[in-house]
Amino acid sequence: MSGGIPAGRPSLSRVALAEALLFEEVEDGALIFDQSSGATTLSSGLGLAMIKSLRSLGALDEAALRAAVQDMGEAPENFTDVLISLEKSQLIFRC
Amino acid sequence: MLTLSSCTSEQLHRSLRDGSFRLYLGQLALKVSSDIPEFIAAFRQLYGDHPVTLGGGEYDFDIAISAPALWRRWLRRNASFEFSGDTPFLPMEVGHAHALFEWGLNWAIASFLHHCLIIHSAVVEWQGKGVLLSAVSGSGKSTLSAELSEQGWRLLSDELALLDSDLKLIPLARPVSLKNSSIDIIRQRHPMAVIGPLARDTHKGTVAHLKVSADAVGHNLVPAVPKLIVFPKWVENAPLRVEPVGAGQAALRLIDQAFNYSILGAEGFRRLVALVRTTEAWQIEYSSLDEARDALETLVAEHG
Repeated sequence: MSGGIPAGRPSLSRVALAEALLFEEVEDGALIFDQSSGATTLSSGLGLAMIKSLRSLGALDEAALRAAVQDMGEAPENFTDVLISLEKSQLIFRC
Repeated sequence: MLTLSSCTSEQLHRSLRDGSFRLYLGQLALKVSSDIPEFIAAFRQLYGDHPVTLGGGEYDFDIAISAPALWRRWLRRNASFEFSGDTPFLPMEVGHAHALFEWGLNWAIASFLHHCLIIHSAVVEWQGKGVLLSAVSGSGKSTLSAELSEQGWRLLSDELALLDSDLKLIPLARPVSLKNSSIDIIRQRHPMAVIGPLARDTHKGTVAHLKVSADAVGHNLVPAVPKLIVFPKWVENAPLRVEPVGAGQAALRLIDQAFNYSILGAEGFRRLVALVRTTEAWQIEYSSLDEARDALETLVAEHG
């Protein structure tokens, strides 16, 4: 599943960045430390653009988040897959 | 300061028996006790240049290599590793006593020295530049660090990188653990190297320890500044391959090899990020120790 919101899938929720994250940019992405779980993730490309957008703009609905990452020069292909991946990593959550 | 090799045999045996022996491994002071002749002989051979005292005093770890409980002695001669009176491991046959000491000491450091971020990595220094050689077991890390040590590099550790809050690498020069074919490789390449007794049929195969240079021991209170992180991998018949590793990827690989990253929490993360930001990371695949050493010296010269 990639690209836009699939037909019939309601965009009910907004997306927010998890709390208690430490964020450090490095040359090949950003290292993100989840203080609640102790997990460390390396994020780059579209995922990093999503996290940066949520850090600077706060909670967004999916359409606004998609627009924000496009403004940062990231193609929104695989947007949903990356969103789900970040959600599974508990770096973002729906609210 | 007194070194172990300058003690008489009688002084050493008495001090190891009565609890007054102290071994200094850089910043670490160890109370070491033993009444097992095989251990004492290997200990004397491999730690001859290390500073010691025979009059008691403060210590960080209390380690004894001793015969286990009586009923076990009836089965065969064994040695136990005791740490502050506890025995965290099963006894091993007496011929493995020195290997048991080294493994137990690694365990103690990784379990208790939490003022440092501890990474499973050799640490060496060339021309004043600290290099972490981080790899999973079986990658040839100890063989490579032994080779470098015998070729004039300063060895800080063959097993544990200790990164303090100032981002300095704390030295812990002590015998290098060689396993299986690496024992003969180092023996053939360096006939003058001092290698301790063979411990056969351990869970890691045959193990022996290489004595480190007196110079490395003499610099055990001088930290090194990390300049390079290298992920070495020995592959039979492989051509030399040297490739850069991104800082984020290097951090993830070091986390995989860290003993206490989760214990240190946010502080561990900050220290690791600072480390990968101030160093360059590379991976090296090699089959020739000479090529690997040349490549590392070039990396230090050009990127350290």
